[in-house]
Amino acid sequence: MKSELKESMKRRDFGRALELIARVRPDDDLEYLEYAADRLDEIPVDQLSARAATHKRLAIMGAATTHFLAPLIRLFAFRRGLLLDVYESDFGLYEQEIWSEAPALKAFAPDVIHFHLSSRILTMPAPGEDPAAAAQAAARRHLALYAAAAERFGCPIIANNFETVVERPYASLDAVSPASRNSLIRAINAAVAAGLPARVHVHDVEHLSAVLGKKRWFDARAWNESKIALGLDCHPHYADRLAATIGAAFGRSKKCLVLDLDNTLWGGVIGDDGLHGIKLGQGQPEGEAFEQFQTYVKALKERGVLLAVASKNEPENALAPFREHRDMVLKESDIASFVASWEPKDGSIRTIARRLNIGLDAIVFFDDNPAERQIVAANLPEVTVIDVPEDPSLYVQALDDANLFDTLGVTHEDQIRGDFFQQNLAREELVASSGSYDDFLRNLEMRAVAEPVHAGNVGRVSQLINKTNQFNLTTLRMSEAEVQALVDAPDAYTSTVRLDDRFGSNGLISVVIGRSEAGTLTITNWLMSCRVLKRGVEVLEMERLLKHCRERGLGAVIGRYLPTEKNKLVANHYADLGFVEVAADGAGSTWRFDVAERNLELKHFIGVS
Amino acid sequence: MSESTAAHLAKLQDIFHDLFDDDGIVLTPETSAKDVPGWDSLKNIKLIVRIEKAFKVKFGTGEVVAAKNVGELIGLIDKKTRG
Repeated sequence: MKSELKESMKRRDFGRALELIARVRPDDDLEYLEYAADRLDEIPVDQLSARAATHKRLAIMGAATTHFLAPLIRLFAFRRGLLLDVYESDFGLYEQEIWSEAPALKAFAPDVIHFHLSSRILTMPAPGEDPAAAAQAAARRHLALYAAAAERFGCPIIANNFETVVERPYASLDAVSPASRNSLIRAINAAVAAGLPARVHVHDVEHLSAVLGKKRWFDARAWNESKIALGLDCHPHYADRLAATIGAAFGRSKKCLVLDLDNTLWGGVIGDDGLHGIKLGQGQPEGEAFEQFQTYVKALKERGVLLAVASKNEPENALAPFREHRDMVLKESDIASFVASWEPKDGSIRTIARRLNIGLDAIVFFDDNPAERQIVAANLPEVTVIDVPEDPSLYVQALDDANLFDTLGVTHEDQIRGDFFQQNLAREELVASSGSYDDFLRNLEMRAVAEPVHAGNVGRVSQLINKTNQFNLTTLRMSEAEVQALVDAPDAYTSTVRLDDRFGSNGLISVVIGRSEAGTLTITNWLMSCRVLKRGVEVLEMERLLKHCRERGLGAVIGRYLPTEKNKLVANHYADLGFVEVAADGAGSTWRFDVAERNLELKHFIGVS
Repeated sequence: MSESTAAHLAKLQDIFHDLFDDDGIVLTPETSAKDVPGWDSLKNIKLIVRIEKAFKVKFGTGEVVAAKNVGELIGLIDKKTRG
């Protein structure tokens, strides 16, 4: 691996080098990973951005040494399509630099801040001091720090919790005595988790250190010589997990898991073995493994990951277990898009992406058959293909280790996401039975709740702002703190729409944000979830916009369209709404709508409350 | 320079070439951190791990940091490999 990377660097074949670098895994040889990480500094930035479109600034605030860690974080973030510029605090000054708003940190203007902490920095309560009170005090001190960082730097915070340690001077009492070091650590972690301020997220090193093994996690010599808080070979795992969380903050997490059926969700081949011949459920060792995998996948679905099926089967055979097998954990209603056909699977995955209105780069493919995986990997390089182990007992770990579906919070919309797509099937049937498209829209019986951004919807609004790519005029991302700041800003215009129809709720799906100045309202963000395309929501938003302008005496609306690879869909958005193009430059085009001169006829079929 | 010292020096030089990604580095017993561009505390940490792996030795806390130059480092390795 290393020699090939070295060769491509020598040839200055950066395309090939980056291809290799993008394939790194935390279990790879550490020397190779260090080497690969350092190469990122030698490759021109335009080549890096071509492969990692999201470019962000990460500040690492270290209570321990971060020099070994930082390049690896950068490496594993790159693998996830995220190019990071990294700032490291001066050693141990992680608190001072926040509280004093250190000029270097301020100038760096981080998009995300990571607190690299370790329980090695915690001081034990003095003799006679109440350990519970000491834990509360330590938790308060860190919570105040995190909240200040989020507020002063206006960005998400990802802070380590504290890892319990190997040594136990209290021996078996370690688990129960409040005075033990590990009890103190557990109490601090619990108090921090219970009191997390908005935009502050936990990097769970307590869990990761246990997974890797705590004896391996702590290298006393490295701590004593260099204040390195974890074993060198643990760093890649730390970096990869942290990169997944940072990725989640910027919409890089995957959205959909596409599953094969035979020998993936159950043992055997449904078409040959029949409903009672497949292995699934308690009583057979293999059957239990498949049941565990389904249970894990179901939990992913419960928290917002879309599930789809791509199976080479007759549709009725493929569906039979979902409908009739009593040990199926996954039900037909859990699957947002079900494709059973004899087509090659890359075609099926394209169909799924189209039906669910998501990009191929948001898809993860899980199939026991190496040949299918290879076809998909070769034809759809954007799709993440899991290297599925042969033994079904290892499926859960293989998927979990990949850390592809990290999330910073589960909103109501996440939990009901799978339902949207199920309801969409019913909506599609309605299209077929309606005479015209207007008839269809009328028959949908749509009802909207339209309101400004407020404390209750800030979470969902910022989620939508940060992950919507297609129906998004400017793709301008905003932190939750920035969205929150709009709530009380007198010159801000904000509008959100929540849409229900006869088949169910779509949740909050549209956001428009603007700023008024000197009689003109300038739209900074206009975006909508693609699940409600062509329902007239943008017309409703336009209606609200004009009403606002008339009430406030604003004479014109200015909109910008900044084209990206993904938002061609809205190239004509402003033209369709009657705006006139007034300027265009390399970045995009500017559109104007004169409120007074124009009397736009706005037609939609949405009842508003 | 004894035979084992020369062998250690050659092996150490290979480690340096790999670690610093520079085949032009020439080590002598007198070479110290200031003579090798980029030989900082981070490189030192990586160096220790690589030496331990290559020579199958384990350094004690603070031992490597106390070595003033490559000669002393080789002396340390020598002691460990014989011990």
